[in-house]
Amino acid sequence: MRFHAVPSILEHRRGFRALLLRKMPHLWQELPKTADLAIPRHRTPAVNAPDMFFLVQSHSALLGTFDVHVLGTRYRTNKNPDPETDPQGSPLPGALVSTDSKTAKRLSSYSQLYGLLYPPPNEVAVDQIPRYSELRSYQKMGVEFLVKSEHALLADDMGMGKTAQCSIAIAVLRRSERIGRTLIICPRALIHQWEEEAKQWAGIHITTVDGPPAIRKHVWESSPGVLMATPNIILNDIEVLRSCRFDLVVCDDVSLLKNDGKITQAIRRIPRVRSWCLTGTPLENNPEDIINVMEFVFPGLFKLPDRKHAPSRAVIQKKLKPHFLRRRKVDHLTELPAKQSIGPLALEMTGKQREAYCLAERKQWEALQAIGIKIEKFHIFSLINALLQLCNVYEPARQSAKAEAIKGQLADIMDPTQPEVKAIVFSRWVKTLQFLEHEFREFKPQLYHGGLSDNARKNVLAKFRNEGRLLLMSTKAGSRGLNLQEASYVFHFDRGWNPMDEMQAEDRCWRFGQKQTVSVYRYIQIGTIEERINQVLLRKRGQFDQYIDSMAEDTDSLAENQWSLTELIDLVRPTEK
Amino acid sequence: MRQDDYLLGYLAHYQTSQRAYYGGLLITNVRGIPLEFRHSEGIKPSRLQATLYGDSLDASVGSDALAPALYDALSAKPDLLLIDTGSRILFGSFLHAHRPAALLVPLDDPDKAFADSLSLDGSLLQAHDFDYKGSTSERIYAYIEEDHGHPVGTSALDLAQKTMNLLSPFDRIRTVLSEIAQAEQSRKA
Repeated sequence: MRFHAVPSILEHRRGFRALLLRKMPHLWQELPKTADLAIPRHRTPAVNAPDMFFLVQSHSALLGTFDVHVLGTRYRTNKNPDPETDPQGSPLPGALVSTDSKTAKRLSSYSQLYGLLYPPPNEVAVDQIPRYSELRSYQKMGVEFLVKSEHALLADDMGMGKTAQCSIAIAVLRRSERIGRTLIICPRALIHQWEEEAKQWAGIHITTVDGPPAIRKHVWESSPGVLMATPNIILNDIEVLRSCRFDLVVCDDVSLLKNDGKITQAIRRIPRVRSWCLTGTPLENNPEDIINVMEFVFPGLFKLPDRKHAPSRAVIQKKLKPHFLRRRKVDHLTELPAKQSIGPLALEMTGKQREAYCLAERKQWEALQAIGIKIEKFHIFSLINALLQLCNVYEPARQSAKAEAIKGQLADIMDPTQPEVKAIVFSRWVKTLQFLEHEFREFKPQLYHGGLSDNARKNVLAKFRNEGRLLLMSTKAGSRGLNLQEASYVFHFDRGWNPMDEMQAEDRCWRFGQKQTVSVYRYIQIGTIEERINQVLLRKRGQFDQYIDSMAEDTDSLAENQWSLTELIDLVRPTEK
Repeated sequence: MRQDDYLLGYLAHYQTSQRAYYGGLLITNVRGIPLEFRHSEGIKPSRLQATLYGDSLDASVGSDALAPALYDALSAKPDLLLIDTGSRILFGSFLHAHRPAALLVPLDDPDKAFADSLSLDGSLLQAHDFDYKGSTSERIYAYIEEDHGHPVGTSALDLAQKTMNLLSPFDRIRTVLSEIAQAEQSRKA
């Protein structure tokens, strides 16, 4: 039967209905109440929406009141709490109060559902972001999670493609005209990588905010696209930034958000609608850290006292759940070759290096004893650093037991018949790296540290990827965020205070795209402070889950939070003979 | 009017298991980006209404109650009203009175397609063929009611098919309506 036969029946029904309505015109007593799901709009035009013919201001807990203009009609929402003055207030945007009946008000409370009205990421990406199809299913899920979330903490293991997921999520939101001005905050070392990945994966051009203050001010005030800056720039420019509005702020170095320092406070004060954090840090570790991080991601989610004394794990997990996504490499990157940890290999200092170390240890100990009961943690740090550097190398005699051991291993693995094998040596000290540059000169090493300019760093990495075989890298400058899958051997020349730093450094190689087994070597000098630090770390290994993240990045916060004065004194106490 | 200024109005409904009707009207631009969305409260016809209206109850709920309430409340009227087969019975009459309007039908399911022509409340409509975004093999038929001298509907769909999936807004509306219906139900419970 052809469907055009249907109308005659419909006509008949319509006639009957019309008859009914004529007889009883008020059968539907009144039209049903309707409500408007206020669809927020970014304040600045997106790349593909140059002709916005209406303005709807974004809503946010961070933007205070919520005025919405839809095609000329103005709506006003409940006042949002000010996170500065009322950090414990509800951060959810207020419900619309634009309609005039109780029913309509109730219906308007569904305004948070507006996100479901946008095209899903796969629909937006199908033509406009071609590389979306290359993502793995867990990565597509990550993109969806970010797109849906105004407050998101993406905590995938290191090397699972958080940058790619985030870049594509930003592109999807921009293509959907949901966000305009975007700010990405990351360490200087990651800027070039971010720029490249964002372009490669999502075709996003990033403007890096750098240079003299006047130029930065101009960029902050006038640039509408995706901006990128380091945490220090944010701190310096916070007064300018306070008058800017961002639809999205992404923080890709979550470690600095764990404390309440000036930089963290500056970042938290940036006016924004969406806040995302990317980190490989596990949820379970050190609850106060996560709560501090969440104060950026979702201001007011936790009460102020929770930042010092975390509530129970169940409470934290319940609050975090809607805003938190974590996947592990072992579950999703099953094809990733194994990571082999070797050591710590025990070495023994000889000759002048040994003498210099013993002398320094004794002298410094006597100096500490002279201070007596007034001794503070910071007194011990210079001694610890001096001793640790002596464990690495005794400069005047250019003696280093570790350098000799590693040189032998490098000679084995850098066999000319295996030109594809590459290695990275990490050290905390640039001086040590410079010494190694000379010692390992036969391998033509590349040197990467925080003192290099952005371009120099970029060139060093490019050279290492293309033709180099050995990279000497500062742990602090290079351990986070970079992709160095070309290398399959990692040497930790010295032990860090923070096991997380070591893991981060190793995972520069052991990540998505690695095709070979990654071998990681650690060393300690017998009878030195290194051995004692290692023992303390091992003793605390039992509580590793709580411990690993709680260890701060630098010695100051380390001493403040995690190591008692007695423990520190024990570290520097000379070995009894 | 500039070409990219077309507003598409997607009209859809969701019916709960308790026979409550929720209506939604989504205004998008030709890129599928939502600009305004209105939804109704759930309306549940009384037994008297159900008896009196009989088979034409759905059509009356849609075209006499839901659609006018949603349409009248819009801040800006769409250039083209759209429905899909799922809401045809409810909103067919309303569309007939609010031209230009169109019924969109995917061709993946032959039962849903109406071949070359379709009569929508009296008008014999010719099928227009459009791209199904994201599918290389499937197509969309649109039965458009409009003034042939001024084919706004055809132009709008022709433009929109290049940048959006013409059918997905219906699913999005129904998802939102089902969420609202669930929330309303749990509130009442």
